[in-house]
Amino acid sequence: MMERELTLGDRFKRADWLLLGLGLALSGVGLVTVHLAGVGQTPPYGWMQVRWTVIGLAACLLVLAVPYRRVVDLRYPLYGLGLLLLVLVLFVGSGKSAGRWIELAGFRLQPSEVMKLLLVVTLAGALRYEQGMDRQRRVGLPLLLTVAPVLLVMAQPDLGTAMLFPPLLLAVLYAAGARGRPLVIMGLLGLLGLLALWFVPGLLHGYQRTRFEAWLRQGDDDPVLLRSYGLHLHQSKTVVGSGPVLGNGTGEEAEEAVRLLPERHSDFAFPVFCNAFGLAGVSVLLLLYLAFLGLMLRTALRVREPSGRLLAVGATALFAVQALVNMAMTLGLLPIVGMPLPFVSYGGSSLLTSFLALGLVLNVGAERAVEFGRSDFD
Amino acid sequence: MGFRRRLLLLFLLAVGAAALIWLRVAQLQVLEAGRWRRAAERAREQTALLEPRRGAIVDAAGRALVQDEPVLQLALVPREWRSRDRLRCEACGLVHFLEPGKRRPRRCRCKAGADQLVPLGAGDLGPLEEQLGFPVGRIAAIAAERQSAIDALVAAEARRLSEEDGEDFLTEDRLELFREQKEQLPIPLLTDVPEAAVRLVELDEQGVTRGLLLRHAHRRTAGAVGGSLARVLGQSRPPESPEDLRRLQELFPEGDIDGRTLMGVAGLERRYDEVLRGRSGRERRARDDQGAFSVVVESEPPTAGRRLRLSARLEDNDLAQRALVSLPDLAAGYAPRTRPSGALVAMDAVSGEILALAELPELLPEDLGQGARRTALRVWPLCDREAAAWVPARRVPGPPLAEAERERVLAEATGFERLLLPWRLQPSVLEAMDRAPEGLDLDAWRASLSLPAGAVLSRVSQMAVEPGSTLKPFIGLAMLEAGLGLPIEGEFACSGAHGKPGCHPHGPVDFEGALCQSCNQYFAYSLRNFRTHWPAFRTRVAAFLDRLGFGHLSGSDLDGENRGRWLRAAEWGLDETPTIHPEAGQNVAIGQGEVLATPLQMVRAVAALANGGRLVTPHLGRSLEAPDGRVETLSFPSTDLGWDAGHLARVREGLRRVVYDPFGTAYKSFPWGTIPGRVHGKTGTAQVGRSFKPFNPESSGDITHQWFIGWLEREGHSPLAFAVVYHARQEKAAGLTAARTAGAFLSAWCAR
Repeated sequence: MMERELTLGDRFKRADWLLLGLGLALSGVGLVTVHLAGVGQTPPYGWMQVRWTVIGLAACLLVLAVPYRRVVDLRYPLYGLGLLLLVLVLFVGSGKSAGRWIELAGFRLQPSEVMKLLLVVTLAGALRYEQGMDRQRRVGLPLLLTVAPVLLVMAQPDLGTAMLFPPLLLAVLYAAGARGRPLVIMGLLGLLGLLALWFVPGLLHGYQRTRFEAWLRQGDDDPVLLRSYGLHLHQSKTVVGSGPVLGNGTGEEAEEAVRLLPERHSDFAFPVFCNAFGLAGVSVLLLLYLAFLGLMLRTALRVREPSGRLLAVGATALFAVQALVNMAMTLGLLPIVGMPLPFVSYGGSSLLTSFLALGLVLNVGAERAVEFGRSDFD
Repeated sequence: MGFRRRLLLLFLLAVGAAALIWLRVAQLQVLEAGRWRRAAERAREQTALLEPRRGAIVDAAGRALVQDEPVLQLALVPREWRSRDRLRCEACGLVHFLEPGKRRPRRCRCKAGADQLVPLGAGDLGPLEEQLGFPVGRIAAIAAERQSAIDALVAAEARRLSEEDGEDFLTEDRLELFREQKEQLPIPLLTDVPEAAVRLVELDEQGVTRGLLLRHAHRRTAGAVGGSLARVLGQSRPPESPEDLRRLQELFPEGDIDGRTLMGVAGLERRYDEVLRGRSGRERRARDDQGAFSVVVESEPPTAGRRLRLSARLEDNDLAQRALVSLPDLAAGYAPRTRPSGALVAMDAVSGEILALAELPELLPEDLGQGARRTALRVWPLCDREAAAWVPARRVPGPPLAEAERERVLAEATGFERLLLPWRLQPSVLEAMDRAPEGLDLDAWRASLSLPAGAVLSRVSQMAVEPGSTLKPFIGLAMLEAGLGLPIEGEFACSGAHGKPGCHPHGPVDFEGALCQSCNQYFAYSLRNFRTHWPAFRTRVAAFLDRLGFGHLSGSDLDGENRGRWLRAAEWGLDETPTIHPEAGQNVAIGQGEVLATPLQMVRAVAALANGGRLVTPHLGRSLEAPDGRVETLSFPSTDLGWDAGHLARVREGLRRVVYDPFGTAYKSFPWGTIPGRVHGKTGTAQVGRSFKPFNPESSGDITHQWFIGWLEREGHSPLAFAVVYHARQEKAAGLTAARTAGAFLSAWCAR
């Protein structure tokens, strides 16, 4: 017997409001941080972040209203649309260091941000009925689905975002029950790919190679490294390290402390937060993120429908990898790549994608146990 | 593994990564907090260097010869300057520079609308140009010129990197950084920008114009200083090359230098660079609300450099200069198309202070100017410190020219150029000729380096020539000190029958008479008949002159001194077989052949005769005066040569007779009657013409060096040692012209 379709009221009633609250709390952190980072900058990033938060929240609620299975059913047209945008951006893209944005009626859309979510949806749909040993042999399609956007994003060039896709694939495959061997093989292939990037001439741009070199040689006083690439990281660490454990607050002192940091409103918002709120604030932020991720995984556990499960796991991986990589790079634990901190960094596409992902997970949570697979994922 | 456990593992991974991030933040904010706070402090503030005023150089009477004046300088920053269109406001005349990519201004500062902003053509002059006296339209051309020079430098740097280090992944970045640094170095366009023009330079709405930099600077300006002193004062300029910067960094390891710092690169400016420069001040500035470093947090004012007082007075120097140029028959003695060349130097024989210094040809810096800038040029490219190295040595490595080629070169050469032995320029001269300092006309620069007629060379300290018979007093004294029996004890009959040019029949002469009449045979040819003297001559006599400073730098503060030529111990064969033939040794004994000396070396040597056997160090700097009034008298070393008073008296008597004995070589030409004091002197004429090949087989020209050296003794005054030299064409002048010049100088000196 088919369960009746949930009404809009049912969805809102059954949504995980704590998860949404955590998302909004993270957005609040982002608003404060971007406001602080945006002092003295034009355009006024603080107010623009407010605008995008409102738009994002609206989009989130809109997604909550639409059954997520319909979205999953539309995965291939959506995926195709995402690829099309990625191809399009190669020809009409704009941006400071790489052509990553498409100007559209006064808005700037970053297709690679949207593609992250579309890939999660597509993988969730593609793997939902894969079971048991079959999954071990049938990783070809998901791999193909992942490699295509990776190559297109690398061509922009945006290596940082491209590097985000493989972990999403691994996480979804792992959650879908893939055994160790294919995962190891894919991991090794990824490693080989990285080595090829480094050693095959022409695959990496000069500045990408040098950024990596600068990361390896932190503290090196080579003036070229320091000036061209190491300086950004040095300034980031300076902003973090010069903040007291309880933070500088959001007053003039903090404004002054972060003034020299480039991209402090976007990819380098985390150092600004560290300076303003110190180690104490960082502890709270990390706990917030972990709670947020935990609740998303709880949603995955509670739901019995396989695409919903994978969707929730994929979205969790999306948030986790972005957040952890962003924070790690600003602290010198990873090379600098262009990756925003979810909900915190300024960026319309990023914020919108985050809220859409959140909306999808809320949607999954609202539609618990609507349809069963033939067996549990084992 | 169950789904739940899989998710748990994923979550634990995230927790682990979060813990790592927490630890990293703790490391930065707790363990390394001090380090990062210091880094933040440094980033928040900027330290600006405050340029000190460079110390003045004044003459003995305190008259400024060179000093710094604060000025406003307009400079071009090539990196920021891009070819721009200009708009002129028809209402107020203001010129707007349009930055590429920026919109036209909607209105002028005078509120005139956009319709009143009309484009200016490349050749049009606006009010800014009128104020500056400089066609701003030329800036684009200057920038393009600089850009191509920078391109060449970058290409050279690329080659260097490739050869030295091999290319790596940072090579492109290194080159880009190299280019950026070059392009950021401002090119001074105008110094002393008038205040009225300053308002017109501030052109855009923010009050600045990218690429044009207006800054405070100091201009080194010269007072009414004559050509000779100007030459030894040298020059100072901002560092231009990595070598310059390296030198500055060695001098100032604290790094208080920047692109505007004047550094002495030649002459006294270089020699006393450390004390003249002073110490830069520092200003710590914090950012203002706009982010600009304009809030002064702490200021340490610069310390002006110390003032260098010279021992010479400007008037006395002019007097020497006039004496050097005023002889009516001077020009007649010179080879065609060759400017008169010579030097006069006078020195306190006891202290070593140089009291007057004159040289020919005079140096007129403006003559080296280029086009319209000629009259405004204020550069002092003067005695380049490398110039001494440019003086062609008597032995230049490489095979001699073939006879035919040699004749051809000789036929084409004029005057002093024929002295360039053995008829080729050293590579360093050729290189220098292609490196005209900025603002100088290349041809004029090359001409100034065509030695020895060129004006850049200091005739006093950098031009070493054969001293001729002026060496005889020292050879004679050396023979006495060495205990050699003189040619014929008591009396020597000079027959003049050797048939050698310059050998006259003097008849019977004693030691003093030989000096008085400058008897070559006594000092040289007789050595042929006294073979037993030769070993002593090449050992003890040679060592005596070596100790007297021949072949050595005097240690003077005149920059770029030439050490001259005196055979080294090995050449004299002190240990083994000598490489010099006795006949060449005889030639040396009369001051020709393998001996070269500068007037500075000669005046130093003759001062030792005047002061009783003390070798002093000639110097032009007398004292250093700090801004707070403290005076430090400069001290230079002197050495007691330990001469026997009896031997010295015999030499002095011989030199007295040169002037006052009717047979003395200077008796007829020296105006001894007009000088209220006693003069000792010695004439000398070094014949280096082709007819003297047996004595000087490498000589090529027909030039003689006419010398007169000596000293003046007056009651109540230190002995005044002097040396005069002309490089003339007259072969048998026997130093008469030089003696007359010395007489004219001493008369004027005593009458002042």
